[in-house]
Amino acid sequence: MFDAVLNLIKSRIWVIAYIFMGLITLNVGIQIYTHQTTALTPWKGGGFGMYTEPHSDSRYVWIRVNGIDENGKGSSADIRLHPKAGFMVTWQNAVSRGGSRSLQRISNAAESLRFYPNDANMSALADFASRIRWPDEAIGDLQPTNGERFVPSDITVLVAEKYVDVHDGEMRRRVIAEYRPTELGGIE
Amino acid sequence: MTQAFAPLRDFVNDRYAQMLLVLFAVVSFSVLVEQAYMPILAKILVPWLCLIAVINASRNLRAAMLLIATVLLFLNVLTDWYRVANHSFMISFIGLGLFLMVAAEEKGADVMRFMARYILCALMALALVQKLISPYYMSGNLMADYILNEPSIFSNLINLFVPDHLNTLHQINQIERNLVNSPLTDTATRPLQVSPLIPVIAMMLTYASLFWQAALEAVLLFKSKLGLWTHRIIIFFVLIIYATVDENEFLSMNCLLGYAMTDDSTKRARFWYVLMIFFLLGFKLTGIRLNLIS
Repeated sequence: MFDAVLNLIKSRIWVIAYIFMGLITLNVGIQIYTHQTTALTPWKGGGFGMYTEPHSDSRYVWIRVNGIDENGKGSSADIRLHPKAGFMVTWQNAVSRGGSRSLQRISNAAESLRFYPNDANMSALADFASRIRWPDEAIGDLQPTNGERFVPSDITVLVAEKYVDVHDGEMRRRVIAEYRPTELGGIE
Repeated sequence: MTQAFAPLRDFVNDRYAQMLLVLFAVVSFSVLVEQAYMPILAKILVPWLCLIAVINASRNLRAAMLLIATVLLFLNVLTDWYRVANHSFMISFIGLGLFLMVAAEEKGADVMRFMARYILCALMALALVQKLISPYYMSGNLMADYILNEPSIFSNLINLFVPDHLNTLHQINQIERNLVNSPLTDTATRPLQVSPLIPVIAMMLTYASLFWQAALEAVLLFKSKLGLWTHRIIIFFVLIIYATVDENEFLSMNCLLGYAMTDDSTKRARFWYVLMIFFLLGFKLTGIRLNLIS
């Protein structure tokens, strides 16, 4: 059986080789298109676009927890998940093993989505973040707008990127992707 | 001394297909070790599959081992396509190419030469196009970012022309930390005090890189007329990149494709490619970096 497959490949080898090269080109084309139309980094996805834009190491992932302050006014708190904010490192070392694993998982999820921040993975991160009881050090006196717990639609996920403008003599940071789930949570 | 290396040189020069399998085994092993996202099953299995493929003369067994190894590499790419580096795509493509070469038997070498040249041509051309359409790259900011944030890139060399450059790098590192740690609501701009020579050097490097990539593309397109010079220029290109950034695995894949492009008239280049691959991966695995021009 396998011998027959190999003989078939051998008899059509040039056709297969051309199709294979076409598929490689198609893969690169799809990656370039996705990079041009979304926040996918050109460094990943097989598009050979390395060294054209800042590396994904220059990307930082934040969540913005939206709620109300002690006076009932709308307020928010920003928490950096990747690289981990200083309080998260201390907190992770102080909590139980299960809690530590949970914090590591959210940090890993944030680290992963910086390569290709899209609605699906940012929605998942918001959902995950809403299930964590953030300490005062992170959110101060911020309270959920409704009920006792934050819900996914209270969380905005932001991905920022650091870059250099050497001609203007500046190092800057810009938000390259932002997503807040709908009331129901998740994407529509 | 020369006689002691003669069997090795003969193997490298005359056993084209077998040597490609050896190189694939070596390069894929290095990629598996380095890539954090690679599943553990692939890390364990792929080198052994490659080894069996290298030492077995049976076409069916060799093809089967290569196919399984390639499927494992592709599974890693498919499940994590936007997290894995382009290295993983490249080594998977090479694996599939080698499988086709083994399956095609006597036609295999010609097919492999065609595919290797096409992949290198596509890599250079598409990378060049993406540089040309990237405002960040074309403005020289990407190169400036590297010179200002990577101490290994030309820092000592630049220090000869730009006084206090090493101190500037240290200050920029502090500025970057400050920017990263500042609240998201903060004005996200920090002034950089750099010598006026830095933008000039960045632009020079930007255009030098474009020139070399275009030159290499031209060399690949006119390969048949240039003969051995094609391979000398590819190796020179690899050396330039090696001297600049730590991309040893990707460069070793370029050398593997360079080896695959050789024929009877250019077989002298084979030994140099093999030497380059072992040099690049040896230094990568031991963690030593010569920083020839730093």
